[in-house]
Amino acid sequence: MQEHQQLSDSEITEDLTAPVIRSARWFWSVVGSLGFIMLVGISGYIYELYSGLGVTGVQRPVYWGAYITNFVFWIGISHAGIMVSAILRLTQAEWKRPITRAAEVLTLFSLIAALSNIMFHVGRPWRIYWITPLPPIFIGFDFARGIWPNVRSPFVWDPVAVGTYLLSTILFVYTCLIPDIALVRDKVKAGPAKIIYSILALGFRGTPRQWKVQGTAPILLSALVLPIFVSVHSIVSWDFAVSIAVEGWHSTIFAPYFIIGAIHSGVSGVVTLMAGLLWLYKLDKYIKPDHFDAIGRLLVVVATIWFFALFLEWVYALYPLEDPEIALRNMQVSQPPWSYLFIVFLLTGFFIPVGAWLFKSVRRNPMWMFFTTILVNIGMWLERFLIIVPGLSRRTELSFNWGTYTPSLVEIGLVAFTFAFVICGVLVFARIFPLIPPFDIKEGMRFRHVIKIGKKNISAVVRE
Amino acid sequence: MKKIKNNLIFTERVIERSLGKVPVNKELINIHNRKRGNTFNLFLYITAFLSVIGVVGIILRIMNGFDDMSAWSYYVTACMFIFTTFMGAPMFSMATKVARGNWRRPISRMSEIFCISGIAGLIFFIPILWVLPSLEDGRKTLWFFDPGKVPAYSPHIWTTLALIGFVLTALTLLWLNARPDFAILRDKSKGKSKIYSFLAHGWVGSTHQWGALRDRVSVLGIFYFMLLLTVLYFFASDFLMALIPGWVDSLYPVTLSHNAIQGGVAILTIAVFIMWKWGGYQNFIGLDQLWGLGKLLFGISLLWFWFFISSLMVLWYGKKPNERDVLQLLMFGKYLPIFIFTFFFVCIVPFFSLTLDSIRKSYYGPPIIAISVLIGNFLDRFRHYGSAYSLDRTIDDATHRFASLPDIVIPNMVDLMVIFGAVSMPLFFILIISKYVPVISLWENREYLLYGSHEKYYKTEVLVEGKPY
Amino acid sequence: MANKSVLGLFIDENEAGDALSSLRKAKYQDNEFEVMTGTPYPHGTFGEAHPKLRLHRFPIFGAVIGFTVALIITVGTQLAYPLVTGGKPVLSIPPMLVIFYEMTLLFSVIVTVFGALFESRLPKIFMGAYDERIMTEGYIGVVVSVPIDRIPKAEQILKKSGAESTKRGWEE
Repeated sequence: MQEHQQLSDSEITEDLTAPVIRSARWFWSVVGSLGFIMLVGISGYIYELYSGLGVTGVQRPVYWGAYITNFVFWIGISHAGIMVSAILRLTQAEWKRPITRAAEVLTLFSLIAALSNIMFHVGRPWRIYWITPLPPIFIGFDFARGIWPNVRSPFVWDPVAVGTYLLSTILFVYTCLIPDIALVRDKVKAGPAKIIYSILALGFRGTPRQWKVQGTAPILLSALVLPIFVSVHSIVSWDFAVSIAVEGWHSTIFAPYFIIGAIHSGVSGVVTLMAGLLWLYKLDKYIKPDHFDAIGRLLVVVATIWFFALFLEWVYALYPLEDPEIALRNMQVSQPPWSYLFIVFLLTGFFIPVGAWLFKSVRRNPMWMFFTTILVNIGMWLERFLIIVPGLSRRTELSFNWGTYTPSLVEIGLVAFTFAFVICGVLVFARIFPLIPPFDIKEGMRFRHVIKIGKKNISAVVRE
Repeated sequence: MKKIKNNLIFTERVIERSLGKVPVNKELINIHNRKRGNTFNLFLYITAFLSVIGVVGIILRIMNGFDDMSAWSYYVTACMFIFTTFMGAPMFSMATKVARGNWRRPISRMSEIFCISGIAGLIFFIPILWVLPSLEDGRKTLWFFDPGKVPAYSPHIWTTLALIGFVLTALTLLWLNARPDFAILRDKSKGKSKIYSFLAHGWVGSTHQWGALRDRVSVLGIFYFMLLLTVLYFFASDFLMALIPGWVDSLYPVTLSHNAIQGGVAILTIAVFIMWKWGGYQNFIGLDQLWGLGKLLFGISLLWFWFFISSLMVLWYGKKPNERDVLQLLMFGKYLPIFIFTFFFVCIVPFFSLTLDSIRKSYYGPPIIAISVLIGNFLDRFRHYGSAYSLDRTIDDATHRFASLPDIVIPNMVDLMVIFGAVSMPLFFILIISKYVPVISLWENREYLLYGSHEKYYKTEVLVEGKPY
Repeated sequence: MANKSVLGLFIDENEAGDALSSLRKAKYQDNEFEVMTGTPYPHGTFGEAHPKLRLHRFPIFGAVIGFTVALIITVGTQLAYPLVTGGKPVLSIPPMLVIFYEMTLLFSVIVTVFGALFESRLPKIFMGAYDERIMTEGYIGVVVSVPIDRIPKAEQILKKSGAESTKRGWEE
């Protein structure tokens, strides 16, 4: 990182706690608009609860549509948050400082959005608790269940994995947040807010023991959360891959393919978020073009690996020379509307963004990074859609079983709900807790050195 | 901290540094230039002898003909072992250069020296081109829809071209990275200055040359990675999967690439330990290097399990007959003992032992675990290639399943000659090249003096490291 | 006799370090004084004693609990109501591995977080000696907690070492 400004502790405290202490002028109007979108979505859901799943576009044989696509999409977005945070902590990368918490919070709300899609998707959401292995005594003596969850089903692995990931993320975020809650506790005036922050800060005072734990615990937690992150999307991919009856699904590469796709879409989501924060909260002293450049280079590598995985998936799908599989791939590539979606997916998911990111001027420009990363996520949403729906359309010899799928307004509304929910969640979180860790930025100031070699100044950092 | 306008500001510390009068490390040059001892020469002669044995083994194997594929099981295993251990080691240098970690500096040259093993790999690979059966004999093709219209050169020519490109890229990378060191030795050594002058190829250390070196190494490093993936992709698909009818595993090329990186890190760990223990480099190789390699080995072993379970879950769950046959062939049938030992050596032992701080952060722990990984790696190659090349590809018309599953092939004398040759020939080339290429990079070691040092920080001392680019 | 505290606020790291050295010379024990900062410094910056942490043991402890819980749940529930699905045995290893893996990691994380709070000696209901300027403005706090008769001397040492201000009054 060659661009740098040495800031005082007061300035850092002031800048990074300002969104917490007082709302920005745009805050309520933005949250209100997002709240309206969420309300529309919820109204659609209430209508769906009342009328049944027939109000959605799902029908035989396409039983999984927008909700499952959205579920996989948000699981994907959630991945990069913790991955970026965990890997950057483990490698002690200096450029992680302004990014980690925003990425972790994005993970948190993405996971909740993902789980909400399952609730939208199931026919009887009031029975969703049956997935837990709780004996009847804990759930109101509901003996109607009469059976334990089937451990052999991927639909039982899913909630275990996603629940583990969600709980781990919450604990991870909270543990790393404690010093900043203490800062806000000391910054706010006496009142109910101060009491709440004092309780949440648990009496943190900044002793060497407490800081040492703050240094060690995130690294330990990162090392534990990374295997969870790898397993969650692998398990979600196995919802599809273990099925032998649906063309296009039964492929061993699904686990790494989904994970690398998740990293691709998730890291892009983090960049979108960073650019948003930069403009909304005027954080140009903390989020620099160097950060976008570093993430941009990571994205080029990740996108290329993802494209290789896509290539492998296609080659091995065609290798057995099975007619239904070939028919499916033919349909995806040559038959509208699938062919249009396929072209859009390739262009937006890989060719346009990666082509742009090869140029340093693009990587260092927050505006360009914002738009290219949005394109990536459009492409990745379509990718999941193109995996799920065409295969289920069942282009097999039994043509009476052919079906199609068009998302209904209710589904579109609920997909929009999830996007509004995540954005709103991050903004509300930023209103309550600092989204860029002040103590981390201050630590960066203290660790910073400059090595002067002739006329060149090289930034250096303390390595503990 | 300083108080400026009532605000406390922490001023950044400036360290002035110059290498103007700092010479290249004499100790490193002396260790490189010293006359090799009896132990080194003994190993040189042993590896030379075993390489010759290996070549004799290749000739004998060729003389036995190409019709009986099962006779070639160990041969192909040994060849693939070279590519999934020796040729995976240079990836360490490429990857850590991108990550800009400074702990790699004492050992990156050791990883680059493994590039020379490509020559041995190429030698062993050539006869395998004739071993591949024709498409009429049950071999599948990944690349063509109509097996009847497959050109005769599929996949022989493009695989050979990829392999030659791969080996040339590896050798170029080794030379490029070592060029500044050749220049140093040209100017500092007596006796071999003509050889170093030739190898240095006019290196004077101009700004342009250094800039070009950085750019070329990063581009070639990317090419090396891409070609490693490509070559292993061909080895995984055309030279393995296509020989097992019904085995469709889109993950396996990636798995094999991962195994190559795991094997590479393992063999590098052993090399680093040898250099530390017996090479005279105790002042340059420290616990940091072995600890770093131990951490890598731990993470990579965890990934082995992930790749394994990703394939297993999909192939096992649906209970398709052809997939059950493949699992019987590779894991649960007659090759079960090989699979169990593979799993034990390559996953269980590294994972459970490297979890412990006392083993991971030690001089002896990572190398011992690395030996386990290499044993497991060899068994894994044998589990796949041995079973594939000894499989009778006849499909039972009634059940559409394999007519029979092969027994574990017992190695004969020729097989043992080939195996010893395959392990010894790369080592022989490495020992020879280490007489000319410094095992620890002189210029990278010197470069670190600019960017890393211990500095006083109030009442303590800290390590300060800069990252110039 | 109950302990009382005196807090000295420093601007300069060297002065804070000198204060700790002076306190040691005046026979104050390491467990009687402490440094507080609003941001982490490299260990030993002020000459403070290195805190010994046992945080690394918690994940393993949690992993054992998690594995046991997973074993009980998967084996127990499947044997309680054995139902063959998909032609797989009732106790199938690959699916059970998934649950074992997740539960092991989940409990590892939970116990590690509790371990982190425990090692940080949190929650601390009564914070004790503290000044908000430590977190918000970057002051370095040195607090001495000793019986009341030794407080004046400690305060004098802090002032002599360059404390910008001192505060008294907390009971530990």
